[in-house]
Amino acid sequence: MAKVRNWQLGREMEYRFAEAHPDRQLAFVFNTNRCIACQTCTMSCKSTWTFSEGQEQMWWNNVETKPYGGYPHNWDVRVLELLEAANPGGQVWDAAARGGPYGVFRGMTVFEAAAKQGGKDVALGYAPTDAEWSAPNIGEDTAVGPPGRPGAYDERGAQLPQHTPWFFYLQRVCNHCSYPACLAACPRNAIYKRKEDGIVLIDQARCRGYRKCVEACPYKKSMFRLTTRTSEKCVGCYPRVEGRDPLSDGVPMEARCMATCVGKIRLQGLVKVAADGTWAADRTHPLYFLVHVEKVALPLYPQLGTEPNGYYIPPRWVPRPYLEQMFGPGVGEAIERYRRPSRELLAVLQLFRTTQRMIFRYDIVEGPKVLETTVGGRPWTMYADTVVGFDERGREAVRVPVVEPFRERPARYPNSI
Amino acid sequence: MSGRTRRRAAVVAAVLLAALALQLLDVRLAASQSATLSARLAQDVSTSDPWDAVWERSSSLDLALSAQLVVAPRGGTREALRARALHDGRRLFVLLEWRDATEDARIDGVTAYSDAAALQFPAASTAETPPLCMGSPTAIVNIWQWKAVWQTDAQQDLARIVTSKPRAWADLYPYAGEPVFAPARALGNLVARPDRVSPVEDLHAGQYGTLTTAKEQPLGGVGVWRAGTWRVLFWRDLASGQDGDASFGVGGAGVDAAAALWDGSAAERDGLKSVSQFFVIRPVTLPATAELPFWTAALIVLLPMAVFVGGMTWLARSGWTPGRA
Repeated sequence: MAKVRNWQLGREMEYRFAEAHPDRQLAFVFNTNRCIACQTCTMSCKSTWTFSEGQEQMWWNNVETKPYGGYPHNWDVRVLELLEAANPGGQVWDAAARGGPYGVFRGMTVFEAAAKQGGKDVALGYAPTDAEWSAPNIGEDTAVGPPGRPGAYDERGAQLPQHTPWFFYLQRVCNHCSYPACLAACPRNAIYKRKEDGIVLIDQARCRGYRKCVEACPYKKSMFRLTTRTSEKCVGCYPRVEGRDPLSDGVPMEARCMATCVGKIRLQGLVKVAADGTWAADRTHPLYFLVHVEKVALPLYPQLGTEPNGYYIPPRWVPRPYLEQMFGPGVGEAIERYRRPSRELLAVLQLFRTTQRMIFRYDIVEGPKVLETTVGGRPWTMYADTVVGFDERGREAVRVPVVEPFRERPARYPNSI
Repeated sequence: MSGRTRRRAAVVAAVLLAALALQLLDVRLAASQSATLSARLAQDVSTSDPWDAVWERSSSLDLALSAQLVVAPRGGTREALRARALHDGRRLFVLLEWRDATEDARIDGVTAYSDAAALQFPAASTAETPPLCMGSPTAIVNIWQWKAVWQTDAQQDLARIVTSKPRAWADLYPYAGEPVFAPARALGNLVARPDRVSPVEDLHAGQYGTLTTAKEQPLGGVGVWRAGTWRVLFWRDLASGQDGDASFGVGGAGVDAAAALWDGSAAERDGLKSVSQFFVIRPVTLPATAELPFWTAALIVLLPMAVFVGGMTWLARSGWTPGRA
């Protein structure tokens, strides 16, 4: 075990390998507030990568309804329970402590908990059964009932800012973690993280199907294929990220699940990584801006310790304790900033899913003031700015207005196209 | 010579006589333990039936196993193993036998694991004794692994969902048959081969985490589970031309060997295994004969002695003394 720096936890932690960071890291932001769970992402991934025999129960991308849904069933509850059992009462954040953007996590990661339990395994985990991998959309659209009365109708349910009955959609793909548990747990060293983009891959020539990665990945995004007896996982659509897709014009392109998002909730890119593993300052990179400047997007279950590279804008109607367990102590601030977005944030939010090409830089062309109102009792102003996204080569990839143009069809053409 | 000295001399003489008889008869008492397993000569070893009677004529060695605890994942639940060996002048045969209540020979679910067994030898090219734990970069080990599921594969195509999940249904598998959509297979990964015919695999390793399938597969093997006991037979030519393989000579000092077992129903695979210490497999020129049970061997030794002593006593009582006719 080596000591590595996990900036999301604000501290050092134990990991099987010494620190070695990629030059760039594949990362993404999902805006859970916008998702309609249409599963277009899920099907686009399925029809690209996992349509073959032996991959029937394999969904590299899935969208589950929280709190009851989960693929595999209850994956996060199971992992959190294991950690709680390993460190009863100790899985807490110290949000006020100086260390990282979310304070310091004082509890145990999956690696530290495994070490505490005698080091039988590299990471604390479990192997989901066939039944748990089936019914991937179990619990769909199922809201919690009123307190103490599950399933009952809640007459006082629709109250802001936090609803009593609630659910939300959680979009999940492999997080291409900075400290992947799958990689650490592979006894064959068949899993590797690419230096050029941080994508985590399983070498299909070396894998012997031991399924230690399936057990170890706390997000359960490593999956076993019965027909080849090897494990497979999300490949980050690496041919597209490499710019080898014929449509990409030689520049990095978003993954299929990102590019097909109907709800425009997804934004994926490559961020520069500094020598210490943190994101190198890149003020006008949309992902850097969302994660490190506005801090409106938060990592999924950062306390597991793998430093996931998927970030989520938390759903604003969900009770905060639930969200804090899932996204850490930055939830309150993130939601507040999202509800009353700054002029720049509102512009950057328009970039989601507007082009297949990855955006490496944005620029804002200022427009006139169009609205003055109050949000949460505080004044808020809206401007008709335009945001411009640039690809890897600095070419304009997309230009989107903050205020959509509004055109009224003349009465004499009521039904014409 | 005093009476006490005479009695001591008689006991020593009797022990030496018994030892000489055991040696001349090449009798190894079944209850004894030795770290060397002699592979005697037998021309009639069956390569299809590890329960064949020929194995009653082989030497055997009982090995105590312990859980692998050096590197994660750690574990292993099997406690004992009996090894036997024979050779026919051209090939070495090693038979492993162990108790296992369940025959785990199918991987038909994501949490199903196979029973397995392996033998480990230093590569012929290795001068130093390799570490027991998968060798080292300077001391390569040769591993022979057998898996129960590969045994099943030879009989039915488990690598089809219609076989492993008979109630599953799919309308269509697009591009079925294009190798790129089963990448492990396209890359020639032996564990992914749909047309596997041998239940054994020849591998090389130079430290844990480096186990690699050998280019050539000179190994033979067969395993049969019967009433709670596995018998798995490995065989290979005594000599191998492949770099990284072990090599065996008849009449030499023998070759270091270690064995490992995996129990599928305990989810054992990889480092989750039970391992023996090193023992020696030594092919010898002596032909395989039936091993004598302890009391049979004891009778062979003790009966002539009893007759001799009894006769002498009878003669002494009857007044006869040596030198007096």
